[in-house]
Amino acid sequence: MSSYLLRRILFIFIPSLLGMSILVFVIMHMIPGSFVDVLLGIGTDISEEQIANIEKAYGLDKPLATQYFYWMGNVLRGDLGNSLRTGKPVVGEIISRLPVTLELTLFSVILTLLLAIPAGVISAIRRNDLGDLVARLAALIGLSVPNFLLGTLLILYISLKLPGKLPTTGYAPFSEGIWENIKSMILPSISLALGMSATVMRMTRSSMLEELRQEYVQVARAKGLSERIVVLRHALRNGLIPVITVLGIQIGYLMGGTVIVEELFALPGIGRLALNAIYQRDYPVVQGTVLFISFVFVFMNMLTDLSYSVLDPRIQQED
Amino acid sequence: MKNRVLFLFVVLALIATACGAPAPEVIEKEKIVTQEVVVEKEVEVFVTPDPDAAPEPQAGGTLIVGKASEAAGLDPHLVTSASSFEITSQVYNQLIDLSDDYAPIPELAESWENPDDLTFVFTLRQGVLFHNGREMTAEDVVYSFNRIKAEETASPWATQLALIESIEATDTYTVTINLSEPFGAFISTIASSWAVIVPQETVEANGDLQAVMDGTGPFILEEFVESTKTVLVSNPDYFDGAPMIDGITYQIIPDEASRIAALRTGEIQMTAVDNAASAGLAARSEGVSVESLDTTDYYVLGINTAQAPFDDVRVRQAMSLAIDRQALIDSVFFGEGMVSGPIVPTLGEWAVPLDELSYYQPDVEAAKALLAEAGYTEDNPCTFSITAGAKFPQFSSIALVLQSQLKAAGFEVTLDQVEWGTFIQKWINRDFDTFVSYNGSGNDPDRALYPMLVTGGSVNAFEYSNEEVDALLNAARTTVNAEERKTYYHDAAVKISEEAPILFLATRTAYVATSDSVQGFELSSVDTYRGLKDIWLLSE
Repeated sequence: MSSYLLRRILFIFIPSLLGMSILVFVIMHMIPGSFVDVLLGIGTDISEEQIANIEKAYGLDKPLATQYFYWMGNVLRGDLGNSLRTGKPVVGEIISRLPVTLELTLFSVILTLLLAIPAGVISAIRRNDLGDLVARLAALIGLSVPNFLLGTLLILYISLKLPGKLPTTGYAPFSEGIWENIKSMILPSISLALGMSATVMRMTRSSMLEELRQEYVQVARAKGLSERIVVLRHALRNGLIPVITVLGIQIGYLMGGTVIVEELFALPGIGRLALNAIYQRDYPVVQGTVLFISFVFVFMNMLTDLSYSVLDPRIQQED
Repeated sequence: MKNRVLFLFVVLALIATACGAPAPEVIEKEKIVTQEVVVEKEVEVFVTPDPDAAPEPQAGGTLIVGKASEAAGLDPHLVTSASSFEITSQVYNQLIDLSDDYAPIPELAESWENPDDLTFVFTLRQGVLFHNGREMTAEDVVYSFNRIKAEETASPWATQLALIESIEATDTYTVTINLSEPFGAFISTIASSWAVIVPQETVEANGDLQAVMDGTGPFILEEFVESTKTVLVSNPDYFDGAPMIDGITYQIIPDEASRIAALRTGEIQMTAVDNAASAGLAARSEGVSVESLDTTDYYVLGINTAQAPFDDVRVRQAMSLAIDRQALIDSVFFGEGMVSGPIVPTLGEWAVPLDELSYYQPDVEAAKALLAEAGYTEDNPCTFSITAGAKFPQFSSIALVLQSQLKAAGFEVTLDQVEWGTFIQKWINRDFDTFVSYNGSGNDPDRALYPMLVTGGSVNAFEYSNEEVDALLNAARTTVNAEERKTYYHDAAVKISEEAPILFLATRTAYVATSDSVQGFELSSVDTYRGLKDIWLLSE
């Protein structure tokens, strides 16, 4: 197990992050409009000399390769640099946004699990009856409706119709009370969870159908076990493996910040940090955030792989 | 694994592209003053708050403002965007402010005189305290202006003060500034949101003022939570009297529809609205009023006059004739705003009546004739693109309407919508056929026309050059007599309309929506939110 982990880290983890860091650095400097261009906008009456002076003050006058190695050197020492716009350390910026993104992820995943797994299981065991059809139709709608539309509809039809019950936008930190905090998370979590539930529900259903056809299920039934035990203890446990894969990727995605939902509900998470930084060409913040997102993504994938052996001890990680 | 790496790229691509327009952010324009100008403002109230008798003003309460984009830093000497100045203006003071008709009025300077063309002597108000408790003196003014000018500060505003040769504190409350050459617009230049007075010790303790604030203004920074909110509390010691309200909380809500929803549920009490359609929606909501103000900003179609087909004046004239500016206002802005000539009508007496301008009445047949003369036919149409930066949704709406109007006269127009940073790059490289944008014209035609249209002007992205226009703009700039200047500007405006180097379209309307609990707020054309210290809140 430990050598497997070591190999994962050496050959996948580190190269992925290094590649990502180079890629994002190059892309950020390739897109038109530099930090100073965006800072000055159009129509600012300013001399070339003054512009060069501003570039120098922000350390943007050095060759790109030099800037990259300087940045990478600091990253290896745990310093992601400072934001060009605000001068604050990037690490601090990410940490201050993390609770929001973590909470949103946690809530959406819990909602998804509560909705999708039971729906998927019921759909599978009642294949082709009315409940299955309804669940499959709901899943199709969930997949087809983009979350920004769902979010807007929730604001219009839930928030505005029940004034004072749920805030339309904004984030209430824990310091404002746990209930306030949870209230501010409900609508965004629902808009994320519905789409995700659809994917997870469909995966659960097809995986369960597969398992229920297996011989061991027949054996279990033949032993006289109740259908409940057969489904929940035997089939579901094996059926969850592909579901975990899907969920793992979704969580990695959510942890990277869900830009659209964060923007719509004005939640100050990782996604909005990255988005604003891209618009402002705040290079260190974009690089730091993307590196962080990549880290979480690769890490989540590794956890997903490791979780297989917990669910099914026959799967060994020694390849 | 390959698939997952691929997925990661998709996530990135989503972050980079899938998010629609960036939150609006306006670059603060300089304000230039001539005292003779009287600017007519039209403040229109869509919904009158309470028809009953006006209630007694009451103190207390916190105003919650919904803000589209977060302040990109709080250091007034370093930032350029209106999203920052909206907050810093509540916390800091300038030496001099401008009244709503653009006349200089005292702020930290009680009075000032101009013994000769090169010297300005400012007498400061006494007993003004920074929020850290120390008294503001002449030394702070010297420090602040020197900080803006200093190379290591890298302030984008340094160029504005380049003409200051020396600045010294002649005594505790007197500052003397010497200029290297006469500069008629000096007073109006320093009456700007970036030319504020800051205490040296706070700058030195924090490196800069991007995350801390320490001014002399009516509100004190209590909390700055990036991306979430900024909390200001009122300054009981403000020299001009403490504000009526206890404080202001800015809540960041990027999406305009979400902001209006929040206003309707009472989560926020005030917000700026960019879109005329959203302003109408807000105005129809119960308990919400919308104030609008015709600004001196105007929408414009910039033209790259150095390249074909626009190097042929007949093509530009045909474009001007093909465009129906009033129809544009009616369809994009629901009739809000005024048709603008080269000098915006909101500049009052400076503006030239539209019927004295050439190629200003829409005439599709005449446009077709001019195009034919320039050698374009149905088989060989005049083809170009309009670039619209994704900063404000109205830019692409304008481009769409122009596209269809120009098509009727035989132009083949394509639209090119780009992200804002990309647009700036194209603007710098002159990499466009035409573009839609808006400009601020300050309050003097010099600011509106000179840097933009004079040969080699600092923001002449159109590469436009015409000797007659140069001569008129230079004459108007170096003349002091207002009547003579008016004649020059009249002639310049007429000539510019004939030449059509760029197409002036319409004035920009600013909207602020407030809930009815907000009392006594007046939109100011100089600084939208400066009325906040005088408002009061009706308690529920």
